[in-house]
Amino acid sequence: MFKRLLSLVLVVGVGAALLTLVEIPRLQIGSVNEGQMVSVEPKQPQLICPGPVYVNGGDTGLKLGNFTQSGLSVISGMDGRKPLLSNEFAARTIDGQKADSREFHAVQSQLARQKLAGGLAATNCIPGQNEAWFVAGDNSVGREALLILVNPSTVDATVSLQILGTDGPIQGAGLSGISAPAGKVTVLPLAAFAPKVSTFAVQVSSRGAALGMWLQQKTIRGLTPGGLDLVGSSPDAQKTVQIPGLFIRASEALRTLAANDLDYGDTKTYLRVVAPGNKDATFTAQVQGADGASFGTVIQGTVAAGTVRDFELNDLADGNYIVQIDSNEPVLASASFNRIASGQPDLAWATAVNATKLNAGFVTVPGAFSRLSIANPGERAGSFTLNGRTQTIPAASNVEVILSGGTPYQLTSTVPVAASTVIDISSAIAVVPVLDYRSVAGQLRVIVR
Amino acid sequence: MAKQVTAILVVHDEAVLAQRALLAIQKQTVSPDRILVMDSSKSPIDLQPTVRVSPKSRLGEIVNEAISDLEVTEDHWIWLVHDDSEPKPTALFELLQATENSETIALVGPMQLSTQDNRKIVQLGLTLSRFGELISPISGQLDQSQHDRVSDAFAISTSGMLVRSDVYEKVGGLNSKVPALAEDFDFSMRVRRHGFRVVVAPRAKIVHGGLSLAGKRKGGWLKGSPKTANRRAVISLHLVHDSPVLALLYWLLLPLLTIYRVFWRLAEKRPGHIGAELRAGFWGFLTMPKQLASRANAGHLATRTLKPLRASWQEVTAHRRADLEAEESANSLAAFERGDHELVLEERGKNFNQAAGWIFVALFLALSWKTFPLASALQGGSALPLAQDWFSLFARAGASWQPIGTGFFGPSDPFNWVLLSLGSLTFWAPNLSLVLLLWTAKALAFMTAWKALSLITVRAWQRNVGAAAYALLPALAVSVDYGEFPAIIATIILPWLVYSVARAAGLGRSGSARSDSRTWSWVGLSGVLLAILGAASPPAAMLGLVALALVAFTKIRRFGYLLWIPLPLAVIYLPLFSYLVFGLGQPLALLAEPTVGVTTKSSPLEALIDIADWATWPLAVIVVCALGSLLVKRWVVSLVLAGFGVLAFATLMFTQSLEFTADLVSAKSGLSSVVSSGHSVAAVVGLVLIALTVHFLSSIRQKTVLVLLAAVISVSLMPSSFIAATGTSQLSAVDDGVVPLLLQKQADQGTDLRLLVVNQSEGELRAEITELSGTHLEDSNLAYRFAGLRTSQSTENQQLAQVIADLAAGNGAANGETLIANQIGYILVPNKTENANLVSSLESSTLLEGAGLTPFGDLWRVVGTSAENVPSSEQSPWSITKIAQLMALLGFVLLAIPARPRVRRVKDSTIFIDQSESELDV
Repeated sequence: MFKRLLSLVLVVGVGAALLTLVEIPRLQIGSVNEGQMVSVEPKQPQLICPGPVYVNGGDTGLKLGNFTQSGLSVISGMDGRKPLLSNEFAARTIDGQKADSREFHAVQSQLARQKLAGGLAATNCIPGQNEAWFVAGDNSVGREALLILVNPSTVDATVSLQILGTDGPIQGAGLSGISAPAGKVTVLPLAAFAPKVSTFAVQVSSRGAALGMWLQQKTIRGLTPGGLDLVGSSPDAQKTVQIPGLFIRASEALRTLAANDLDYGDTKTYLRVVAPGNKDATFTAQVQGADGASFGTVIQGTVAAGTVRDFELNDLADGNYIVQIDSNEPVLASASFNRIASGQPDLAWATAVNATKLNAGFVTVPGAFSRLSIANPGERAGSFTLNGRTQTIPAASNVEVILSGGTPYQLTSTVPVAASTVIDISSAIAVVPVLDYRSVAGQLRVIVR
Repeated sequence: MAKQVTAILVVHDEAVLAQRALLAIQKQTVSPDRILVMDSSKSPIDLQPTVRVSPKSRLGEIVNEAISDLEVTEDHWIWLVHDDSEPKPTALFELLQATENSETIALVGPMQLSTQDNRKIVQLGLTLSRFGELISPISGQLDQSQHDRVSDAFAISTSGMLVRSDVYEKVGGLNSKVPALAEDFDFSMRVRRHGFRVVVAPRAKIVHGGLSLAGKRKGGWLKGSPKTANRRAVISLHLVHDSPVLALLYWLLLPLLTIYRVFWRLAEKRPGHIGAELRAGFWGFLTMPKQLASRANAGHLATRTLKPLRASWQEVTAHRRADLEAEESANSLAAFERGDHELVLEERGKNFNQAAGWIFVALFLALSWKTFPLASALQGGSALPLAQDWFSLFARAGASWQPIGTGFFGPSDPFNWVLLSLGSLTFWAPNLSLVLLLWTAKALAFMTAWKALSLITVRAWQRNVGAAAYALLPALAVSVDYGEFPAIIATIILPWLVYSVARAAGLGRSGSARSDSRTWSWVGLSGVLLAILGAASPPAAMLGLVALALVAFTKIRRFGYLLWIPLPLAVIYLPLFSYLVFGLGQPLALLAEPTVGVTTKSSPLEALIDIADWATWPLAVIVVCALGSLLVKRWVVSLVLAGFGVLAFATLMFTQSLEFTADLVSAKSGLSSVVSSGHSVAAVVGLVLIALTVHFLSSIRQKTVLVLLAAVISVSLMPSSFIAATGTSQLSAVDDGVVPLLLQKQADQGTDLRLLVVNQSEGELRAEITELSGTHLEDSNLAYRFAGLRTSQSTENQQLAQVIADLAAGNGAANGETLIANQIGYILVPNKTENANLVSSLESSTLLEGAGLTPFGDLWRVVGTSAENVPSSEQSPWSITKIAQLMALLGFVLLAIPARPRVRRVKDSTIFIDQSESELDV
């Protein structure tokens, strides 16, 4: 028996020693194929601006189906050290010297006071895109959603649309094979594809050329313009989505308006969520106040696969918020809110922004009150530097920074953050994301197998 | 005129026997007129009168020397007697009597009897089969006067033959140019072809030792083993006596025929003949001029005139059966001497069917309901679909042209042989076999473990519980969930290999195989299984080799068999071994697991069980029982097993510390480097623990304790069963295609155009060049992966990298000629957020033409290329190495297939062979 016990002790001892005492260092076997560093010239940097607001029927409003640009838009930006500032009557393409957003960026704004359009329309001038999602729009009575496609290239493009509604994809003739001729602007009234639909999202795919794409949303109540916005594209669907720049003001007055007149019902703040995949998405949206000063709200919801839903963000007090969405399936999202300017509401769509380690530049709109809303969705605190001034940003929080009008800014961060500027001109409102784009240029690693 | 007889006694080193033979000649009732003793011994023997001849002299030369001074007439006969022969007193009389029957009889042979039993016939005439095999048609029978009539024979042995001297001279005597064993046949055939008759006189009896045929002659009389000599004789007779056209054709086809015969010998489970077949084949091919020279003076009659005297099919079959029975009988006697059969007498257990094994199989199939084969292919985790056609799988197996990247000649992964074998089972849809494998994995693991545990216990319930525990190993569950096909296959194969090696070595309760052919069957099966295990999991194969060495040295008598088991493994690994060790200087790369690999770095313990999952905790019961086996009877066996288990765990620790470079096939699944999942080595550890547990259970005699333990172990398996039924699979069903249909169709039509798949990832571009049909599981290649650095520095790759970078930059500087020169027909950018800018850039390129948004991503056609202009160049999937690999593997597969039982059927029981109509009763 002694031998048996000894063998047991031996086996247990060796096993335990292997488990607890022995540690074999990691060995890397084989040389990693690190590919080759290749020098490439960047392509000609180019930013596309949509130009002034489009109105249906010309200035008189009588020539239906004839979309013309009305008023004057202001473009301000930077190309390296060269400031860009111009007034435009039409869409414009800016050829730059620098390739990335840190040094080459521009913003376009227009405070419209036209008979058929009123409100602030501000948006980034952008490099051409082939794919874009627009999570915004309303085609109900008195509301008009236009898709603006600017093709600055010398090649014609063919565009396909996919429109998702509350019941799934909206089918209809003419959704594909739409021509966007070279050097022209194509304006598509989305009411032609989704008439009287108040909740939808649009995916645009362009083949043949990269386009500047925007969605222009306009409200007219009776004969009175009641809001305007130029909405940029949303980033691709993800399970975690950040929407900075939800700065609520005059909430009581808007509630009163909505309570007294049903036509003002759409001035409520709401969240639009799209589940573009083939599985239902269940999400939690946390509306988080800046610096903890404003208490937001939390909503949970489910969006069926391939559909869009709006969720009201009721009872949000005036304050500066961001929305953080966590979903079990990839989703797209935007938030819509209003302000009262000159007695009439002006609408704004705050789109989602990808959280990245920023190294970007942007310019604030001249003559506007501008604030930067910056969110750190990660679990690690970090800091961001704005024009040389560094500020910490705790994990899972957001901060607000007051900006000067007409000023170029450089923004870098040590952790992935999402940022938008909130522009206020005479209480008319617009939210413009801080974009971080760069051309492929310089030394590039290429691994060929 | 009276007949004269000269007896020639040929002596070669057998002095005692020669003395006896001489005495027998002298005691003949009819004495020979003269007796010549021809001595070719190395040391002269003490016999008088004796003529010394060179020890190197062939029989023909000795006889020629003996009769050189003799008169050559019709009435002068030569009686040739070997030194290992002892003629009965009336032998010569009977031989001479036979010659009286016909004037054309020129050659008479006696009945040869055994030296051990003088009533047993060892030879009465010789013949050839239809294919030219040497046959002694009457052998092993008791002489009961059943063959006492003089009859024609195809040929007779030279031992005791009586030949007319003039005929001997006319036909040129015994031909020394043909092999030793062909001399008798050649001589008889010459006599026949000159128009004379050859007969046997059964009443003339001679006791013959058959030393030459038994290989007992000293001095290389046969110039090789009897097997080789026999085969050489057959070849020689074809070349000398077939018609010129047939002889030439036979010579031309001899290499192929030799290969065929090698495989036939394997199928017969007689690998001992392979060397003889190869040696004789080479010999026949190289000595053709010498053999053709022997055709001179072969006789004016065609060989086909001898057809009636050839052996019938029945005689051939009976002859073979008799040979095999004699061999099996000898083996059985040897086994009894070793005491191998004592174990068989022990208690016999229930078989799988009786032990309700099929119910467990059904249960495991039901537990695997999530992987029920509804999909045509699977993707995700470590899995990729296989190619849609069998030929693509075949092209990727072995060392040959590998159409990976821009193509290279080198070794593929040994695992591709396994994939080829699996794909061959469902050759019309190779992916189906993988889908089925995933569903049946647990059931198959149960079955193989059940067999392996039969080596330890006969009790069915213990085998059932142990095998169920093996099938529910967490490592196997994870492997199934992540589609780790190598680990799944290793887990299934491992217990089967253990059982097979044990049978080949004569270990365990089942004892050893009862015949040589069955042992070779187990050796063949073990070889194939070890090769599969090694291809699927090199670390597990290393452990297997260690265990095999241990078994071989424990069962040293079986060393000769066990030695061959690693051969298929060596054959499939040799090209990769050479490439990695000598070509790249990366010997540890041999430990990399095949296919895509895994990223999840786990500790050795985590590879065994998921500690975070409470459901795996009850399995600790098995560990406790396994340790308990060290305290019971036969604890030394337990200690050895436990020691091997500790070694396996140490191996697991070592392999978990290795991190291998990932190629882009792995990177496609999000991997920058890959590690060993450890699940196959974990299966080794698991099997050892379960074997110890079953050993522990089998040694307990108290029923109450047994029932309690059975209940505890069964309950401890419940949570694992629950996990098996509800586990989340990382795999998703896909159709067979991995590229857009447009490309698949073009690939089906045959083109050398390639597809460039580009991804953008964290500031770098990853481009993969594939055939238009895309990258499949079998395209994963260890040699290519570890040579990645070397390949990336090729000029072709540098030029392509520049073009890809320019395209991604959208700067208009991309050189389309490089794409066309590299036969890039299409560019695919998968649907990913990170690829958005890349899509924009490619969209703006004038070198590309949009081919649409596909389920696999955005596709562009390279302007200026078309499948019609670049037809398939049909690189050969063959190479000499691959042929050798394939032949070795097929050989072992043939060897592994059990031979049909060679039991003599009732209708074969007669010892009398029907006499052919051609037999002439004289």
